[in-house]
Amino acid sequence: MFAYIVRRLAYGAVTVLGVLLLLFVLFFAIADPDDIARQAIGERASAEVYEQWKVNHGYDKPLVINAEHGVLEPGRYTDTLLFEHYRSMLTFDFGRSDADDVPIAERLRQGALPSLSLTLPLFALSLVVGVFFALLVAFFRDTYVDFAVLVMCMLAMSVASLIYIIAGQYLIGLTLKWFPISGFDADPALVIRFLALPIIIGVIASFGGDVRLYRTVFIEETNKDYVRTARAKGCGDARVMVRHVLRNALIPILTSVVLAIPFLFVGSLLFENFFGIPGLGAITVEAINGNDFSTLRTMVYISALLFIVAQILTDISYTLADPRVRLS
Amino acid sequence: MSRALVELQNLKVTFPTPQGRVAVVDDVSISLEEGKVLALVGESGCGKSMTALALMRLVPKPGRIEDGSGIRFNDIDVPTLSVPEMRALRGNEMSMIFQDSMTSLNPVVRVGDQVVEAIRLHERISYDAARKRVLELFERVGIPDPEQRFSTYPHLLSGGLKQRVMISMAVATRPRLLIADEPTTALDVTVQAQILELLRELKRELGTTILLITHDLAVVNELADHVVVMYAGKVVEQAERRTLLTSARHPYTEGLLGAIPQRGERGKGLNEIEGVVPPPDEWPAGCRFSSRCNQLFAPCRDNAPPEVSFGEGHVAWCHALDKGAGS
Repeated sequence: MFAYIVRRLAYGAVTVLGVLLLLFVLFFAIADPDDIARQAIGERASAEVYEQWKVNHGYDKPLVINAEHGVLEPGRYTDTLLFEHYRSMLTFDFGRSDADDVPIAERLRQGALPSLSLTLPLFALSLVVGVFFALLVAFFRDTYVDFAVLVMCMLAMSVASLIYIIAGQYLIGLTLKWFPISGFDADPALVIRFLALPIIIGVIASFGGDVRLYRTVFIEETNKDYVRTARAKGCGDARVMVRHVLRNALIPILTSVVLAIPFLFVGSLLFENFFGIPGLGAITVEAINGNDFSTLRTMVYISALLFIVAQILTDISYTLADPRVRLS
Repeated sequence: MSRALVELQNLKVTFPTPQGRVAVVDDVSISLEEGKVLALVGESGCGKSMTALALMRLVPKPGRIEDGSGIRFNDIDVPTLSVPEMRALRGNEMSMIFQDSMTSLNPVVRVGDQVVEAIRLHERISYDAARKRVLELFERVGIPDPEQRFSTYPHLLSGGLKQRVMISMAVATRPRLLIADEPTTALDVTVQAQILELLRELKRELGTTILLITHDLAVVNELADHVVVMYAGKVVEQAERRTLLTSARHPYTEGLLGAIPQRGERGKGLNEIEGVVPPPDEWPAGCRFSSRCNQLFAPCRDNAPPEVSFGEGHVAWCHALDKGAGS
């Protein structure tokens, strides 16, 4: 088990290095530092201003090889943008924003809490609601209840989440006036009012797909022989579902769930933007709009990192949920 | 003369098909005496397992036990029981060993806990007390190193050990009736013999009545007191074991017996019955065996076969025998 985790972490580390290389190609080789400087200060500036800006933001070094140093000097390779890129990312020393010189780490700290306060409850609630309804329809399979819920799911899946957001804001926020349409407040007493609407809409938007997926998993499990054995032992329907089917169905469900975890931290781009929540998703969108390359680079890197971590966690949680993949 | 523990009267189980509901178990009447072993014999798809599942009211959806089917167990009218009453019966008074122990145990629950569950569903005892019982049971059914096996998962056990776990689960509550659905089919020959021996011992010790479902006449010879032969959802012949194995009358039973390899006939071809059991929606109108019978004559295709009795409980349903008895 320990060896397995070590091996899995090693694979993860290699993936991270690859991600960083790809990021470097995208952000430095394709968008070259001169372009970035021009974007930041505008077209009509003197060459010195560009140079000064590049020095301030660490774009002044050569890309891969520094010809000022001799072939055998380490500076030839370390005093470059590539090396600096790897160093800053791997040590989480993200530097300052290209747009407004705010330290990026500061931004992340500010954005993390609003993001998590939206995505964590949304994630937990949609999982519970999805599994609950899926168990219910699996229990009533091949009846009208099952059919009705399935049709509902198909309809729900066919509508884009943008429609849910706009319709939800109009109906619940504007017409019924139950909750504010958008906004955020760090005060825990107030934040619930602001988060209620995005959470409700988020649960509804993911309902159709989740229920359908989980239902398929549950029904596949209920047709298995061990379920018949459990019933022959005298298990009631509810007990069969919860004690026997749920535990087995957890294995495929885990995959879809754990892979969603990175989005919890990075936040939902769409939701944060529409509901005015100053989280990491909003920061990302802002960075794209403002040509803030250093912030965007950091956000992409963090998403990739979290994705890799989530995959490792999925693999490890498999071994915990399913004794057949428990490794000796 | 012991009394009947199980009595099936005109049992009918139907499944929907595009042509309407088809009876996969049709008008089956069987009586099983307390303390005896009754073997239900027939090819795959002849309704043996469905008969047993109907007895436990575990017929899978969309199958249905039709109204008018009589199922009596221990003088209880099974079809009228409420769901909780039925649950109290299952695994407690009547339990079942399934054919494929590979898939019949829950893969993510420790095997010991699966047996503990079987006990604690019916008896209010602590986990530790149940665990102790399970360890004794494991010892009894011949699982080596019970302490360690208790905590393993099914995939780590051999087929024989898994079947022993299944058996210990089935007998954990000392049921009056044990239904063994092809208990040895998925096992290799040496393990088969051990499992049969175990079933025989348990029957002797616990006095359990056994409904044995098998297509293997060698198993019948080992274990059964009474034999019921089924074909295409119908009972075609029934008799005491010795009578049935030595002087079977129905052409189907004769065919089954003829298909057993004999020591004295090495090198000769086996007399197998041509073809396979047709699917339920293609069963012939008259005698259901008529499409494969080698003694076919005029009334077979159109009329249901008459009951012909040979005394001492030996009964067969066949036009050819009726003609023979009448002349």
